[in-house]
Amino acid sequence: MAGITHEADPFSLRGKTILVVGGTRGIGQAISLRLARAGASVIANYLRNEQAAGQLKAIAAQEQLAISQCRADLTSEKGLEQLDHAIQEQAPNLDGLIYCAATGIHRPLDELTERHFDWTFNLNVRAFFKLIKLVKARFSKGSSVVAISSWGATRALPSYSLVGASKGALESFARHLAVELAPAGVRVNIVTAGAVLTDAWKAMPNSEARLAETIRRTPAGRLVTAEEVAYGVQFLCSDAASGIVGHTLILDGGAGILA
Amino acid sequence: MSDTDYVLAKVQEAFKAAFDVDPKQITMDTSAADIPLWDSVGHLSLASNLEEVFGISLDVDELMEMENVREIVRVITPKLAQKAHSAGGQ
Repeated sequence: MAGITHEADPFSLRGKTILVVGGTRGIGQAISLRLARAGASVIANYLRNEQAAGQLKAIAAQEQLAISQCRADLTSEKGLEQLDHAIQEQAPNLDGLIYCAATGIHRPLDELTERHFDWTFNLNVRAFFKLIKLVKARFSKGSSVVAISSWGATRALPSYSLVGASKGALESFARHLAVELAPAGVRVNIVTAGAVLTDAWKAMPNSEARLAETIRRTPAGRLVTAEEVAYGVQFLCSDAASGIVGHTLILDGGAGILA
Repeated sequence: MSDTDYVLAKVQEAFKAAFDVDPKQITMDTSAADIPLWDSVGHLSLASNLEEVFGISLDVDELMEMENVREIVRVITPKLAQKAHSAGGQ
């Protein structure tokens, strides 16, 4: 059983290669930067936003961080092949996978269609399933998989039923994987982020009022930052978390504990 | 107005509804790099508005092909022709 091996700094990620899916903007960008600053070589996957990818590239160059990027659509076979090739170019083995890609339609039930369901689950759940199957053989002993989830997996939020259901499925799948992969030395965990002010939040209906209400209800009196979520991910990827398997780490400033 | 101009005008409507941008800002060369909110979440909002504006259905593969406005027009144009053909045959 692999335990803590980096006695000097068990939180260091030096020598690890970690794939961050959805890793160039918002919480994903913060995670890519944090992992690289902790010493990891990061492969940041993205699909659409070249501007955010360019911004990440500039920061990485300025700080001399080991972050490479791979633009690939993980809902397609071609995209999965592209990503597999990018990983192979970087290193034959992976020490971590962070699944931060997410999408969804924010509407009430009467306005949702089956296609909305397919679109949402295709990226949020199905692509994770296909990706894990693709890269499983590359995981070295001591690897860490972290699925990024949200409040909606366990709580009801307005116009969030599809995304919440997909996050619930993602979490359940991750817990089952945790049991299946633990004997091979691969730890799977979940990070549930509370409201983090990103463009994804801004896209939600009535976002300003909802954010104000969230702050009012949060014991910490403020929103959690993307960087704070990223520190949680770093911890779970590090040897310091070698005993943590199938756990859900909630980063929400305490908002979730209130009745 | 050509077919392409008609489709582009409707696409601009969908962009306005999805991202609250000035329709004139949307051209055939517009891509996600030009619209900050056009990310994975924004893309589904855009697709949903395109379905409503044109009265069509988009499957997952078509959704992923629509990386820029030119591709959106390319995906939608034959669907409109098919829709017109079906309506004419009824």
